[in-house]
Amino acid sequence: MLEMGSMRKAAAMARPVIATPMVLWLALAAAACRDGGGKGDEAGESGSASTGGSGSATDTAADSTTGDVPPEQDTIARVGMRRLTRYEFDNVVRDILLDDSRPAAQLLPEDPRTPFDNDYTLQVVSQPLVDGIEVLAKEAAERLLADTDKRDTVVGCQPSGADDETCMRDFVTRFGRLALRRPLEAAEVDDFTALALDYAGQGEDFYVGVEVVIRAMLQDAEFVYRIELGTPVEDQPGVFALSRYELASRMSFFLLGTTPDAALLDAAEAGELDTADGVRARAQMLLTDPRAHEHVDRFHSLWLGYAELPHPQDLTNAMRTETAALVERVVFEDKASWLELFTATETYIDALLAEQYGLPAPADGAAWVPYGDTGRMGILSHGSFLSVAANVGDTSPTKRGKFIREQLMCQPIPPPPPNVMADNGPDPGAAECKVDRYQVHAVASCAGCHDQMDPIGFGLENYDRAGQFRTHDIDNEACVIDGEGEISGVGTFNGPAELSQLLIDNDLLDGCVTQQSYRFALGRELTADDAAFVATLDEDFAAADTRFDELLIAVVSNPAFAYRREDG
Amino acid sequence: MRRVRLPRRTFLRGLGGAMVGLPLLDAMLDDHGVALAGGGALPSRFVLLFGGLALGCDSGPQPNNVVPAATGANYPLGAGIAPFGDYEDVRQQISVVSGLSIPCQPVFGDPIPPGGRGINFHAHTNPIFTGTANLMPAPLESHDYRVTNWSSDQLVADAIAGDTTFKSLQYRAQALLYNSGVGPYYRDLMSWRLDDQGQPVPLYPVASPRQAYDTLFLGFVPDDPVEAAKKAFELKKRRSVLDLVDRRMSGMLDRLGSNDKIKLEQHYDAIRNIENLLDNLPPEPEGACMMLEDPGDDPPLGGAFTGDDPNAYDVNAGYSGEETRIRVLTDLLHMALVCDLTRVATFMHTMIQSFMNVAQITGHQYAMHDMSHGGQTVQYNDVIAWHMNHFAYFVAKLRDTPEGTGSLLDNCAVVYMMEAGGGYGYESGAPWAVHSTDNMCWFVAGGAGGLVQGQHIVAPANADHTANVLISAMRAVGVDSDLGDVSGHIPALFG
Repeated sequence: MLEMGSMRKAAAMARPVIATPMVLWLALAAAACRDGGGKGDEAGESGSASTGGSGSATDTAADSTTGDVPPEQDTIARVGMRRLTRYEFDNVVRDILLDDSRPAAQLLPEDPRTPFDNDYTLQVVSQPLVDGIEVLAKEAAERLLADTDKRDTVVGCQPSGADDETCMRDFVTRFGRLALRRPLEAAEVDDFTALALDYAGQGEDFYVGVEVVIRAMLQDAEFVYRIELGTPVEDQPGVFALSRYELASRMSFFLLGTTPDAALLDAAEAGELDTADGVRARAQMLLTDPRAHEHVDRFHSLWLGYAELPHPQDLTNAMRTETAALVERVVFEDKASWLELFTATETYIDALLAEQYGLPAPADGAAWVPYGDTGRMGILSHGSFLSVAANVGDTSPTKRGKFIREQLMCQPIPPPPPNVMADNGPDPGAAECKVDRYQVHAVASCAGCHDQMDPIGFGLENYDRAGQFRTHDIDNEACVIDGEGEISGVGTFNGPAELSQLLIDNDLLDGCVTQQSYRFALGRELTADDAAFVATLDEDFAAADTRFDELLIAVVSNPAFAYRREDG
Repeated sequence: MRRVRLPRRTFLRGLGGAMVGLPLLDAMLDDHGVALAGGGALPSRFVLLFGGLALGCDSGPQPNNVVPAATGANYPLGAGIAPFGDYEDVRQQISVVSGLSIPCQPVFGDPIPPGGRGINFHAHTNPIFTGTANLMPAPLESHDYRVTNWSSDQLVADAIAGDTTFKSLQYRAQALLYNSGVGPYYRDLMSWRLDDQGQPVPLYPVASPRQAYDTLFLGFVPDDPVEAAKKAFELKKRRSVLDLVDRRMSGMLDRLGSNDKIKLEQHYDAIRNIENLLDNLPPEPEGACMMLEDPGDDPPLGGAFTGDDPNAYDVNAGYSGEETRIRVLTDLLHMALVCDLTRVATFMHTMIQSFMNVAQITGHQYAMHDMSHGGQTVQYNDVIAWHMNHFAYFVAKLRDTPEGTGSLLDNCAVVYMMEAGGGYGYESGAPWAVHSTDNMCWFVAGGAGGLVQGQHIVAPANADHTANVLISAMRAVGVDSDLGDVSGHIPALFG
């Protein structure tokens, strides 16, 4: 099958007819369909330029990152205040309170998916959210105090009595730094300590004081939101240099999906994040953390839509395990090109999935099984990927094609005109065979967009919505599926292996994953203003042999990552 | 803009007297039990319930058995509304209004009729709740059918809430969207108030029964003095913690850029709301107003669910114990009305375009939305009946609660709203579609303002807007007003 060398970007290879993916994504959808009929609207993007700061930062400049290389102006991203997602909230509770009960998933409203769950422009404040956080804070504090081992670890000192001010102050200082992700100022320590000692006295129990501190901290604006104040940059209105701690938070939430731990805050405090090299070194360390591995898996599952699957639990679990194993192997074990996700010639499956795919079952449990000449290769052959973007009861070639265009190729397709019901495929009565029914899209008003989607989906039509191979339409042997597909303007293919190769040969994947990663890092859709940063990422990614870990490091160690442009 | 901090109430609960609402005790009624001793009438209550997805009525080739085959009293009960025969024939208290519609633009791009919707099903939130026409989205492909007006419950709350603890309540039984890949269209909301500038502001419903319980009975003092002291100490702690959170947040506001500041101000306002509630505790239950049994932890939340294949199905996904949630919330809502903690409420049973998995409640292994598309009309009756059973239970409970010389139901106007009807598919061009706002039917219960009970009333085919039902219910509680673009009540609802 595929030689490793062919995955490398071939500089001499002609670019596809379509312009670079990024330009299309950033220019929105108009160019994606010949006949699109208007631009799509990126949710939450006003498109208006920043109006500049109004002296909002009061931090001293002493602790801000100076950076050894000043960033290019046009690479500094607009970033607003971000609320912890439910997922992040639970991770932080786990990490600072040693509490893995994941209460936010039960108590807080859902985060909208874009497909990522961290788009701050879509986050709304509601009374149930704020009520839920209050309950969560109370119960998390109660759970901690009920477990004396954990309690003692988190509190960090043994009080001599309810009124032990030294121990309380010590706890407030240390816990406050973890909760608010920066050292507390003396007045703040006084405030929290005073409240704590008041209640320790009233309750005649030191730990009642601890309880109120935890409850107040978990509801604090700076806990619930990632607020980046930074220091205004001279002569650049609306631009702020992040503090060292704010940069540490950005790194930690992007790489680990959680709050910076004490070691990272120490490193920030010691000035280790003041240079790009320092950031790079620290990022490399963070990527050895199991939480980073989990987060990279989660990034892919959100991006490619398989975070939840519509199958029985055992099948869902087997599919998630399969894909997670491949991501782990490519990104962390082999530290190979990220494109090997798409070219893997074997897959990690158990007997259940082996039967699903028609592959030999491993002798025992799950193991790597070669695909052989089945036409499968890489992640696009996984049940996880093949389960997404389906219709009621069957695959949807249109939705699959749209999904691949938009998510994998970063070429947005405008939403269907409002008079089209996209819930179902074409009228089942229109023709006997599915491929013929989709001819309804051949008319001029539809074809402009559908030609960009349907032929991609039909190239995967031999694989049903649970990743099983099939030779004909559901319940109709007369309708043989030929599996011929095409990426319009790029080339033809048949099945997931050939599709993957076509995408790679035409450089369609690597220019998109950089955008998706940056989108995840910023917590919002990209706009034309982000093009310069993405261009540097593309260069860094190529220079690093398209390794995904290096891409993540390139994001955080870019000088512009330590700056913020005010949002509105 | 700097916020003005409201002064804290320094008096204790009980010393505040008229500042807090109190349950209607017999001592407060006049000798006849039909009015307050002071001469005022018993308060009217206004409650809207909502069932999502194509909980439609029938006019097409696949009848849902929702619209009764005969008009008038003792109307026959098809499968969809069979539960009306239960609860000692609660049908006698429920009127059916069929033949309603929300007008739709005939062709995409045409003007949208007053109170009407654009061609994009599931996006008629604005006409259905506010009686106001969708604006044409700009750009058209954005599908941005935003809500532009206030909903009827908020209009009513402004008029009749009085000094109740909760000006209005919003509950929701369906815990999650279950399919967040589908455009929101405000699928999870049904109440909007107007802010100082006249702009609509959504009121997010409480979806946690336990949280709803805690809030409703906040003022309850346990009999056991030790427990009572514990509760008092806990309330004090909450106040102190929130006070610190409030002070710090308020200090942060001026350090933020404008967009961030708006967001944090909203958060700050929500913190202030909790503080205000703690400073004005809801009254302790007395008499018929009772503290209900603690519902305990909420049923666990189920994951997203988009599948429909009976052979590939996880019955636990897409479902979060809604059967338990809806019952607890119904009981809480009932008690909130008994206690006069609120006079206005909305309760969303299931969301617009609901993807709730109905396997555990009906035995059919489907998400509601997918099922409605799947030609499962007969089985879908079970889904409709599930909603109707919880509606019937609520109405019966109001009926069986004495108030004055009559029942609580006598002083209520309750409307059950359904998302869809059944008829011409403006989106598909099909002569009959489940996703249609033609031939809708809604249900009205209660005796407020002389509402008739137990009748099947047929509106002249598709001439009456669903908002005419809301306007009738508004009129029943003494609020004579148009709703959005729509005016006029349905006279037959008043006999």
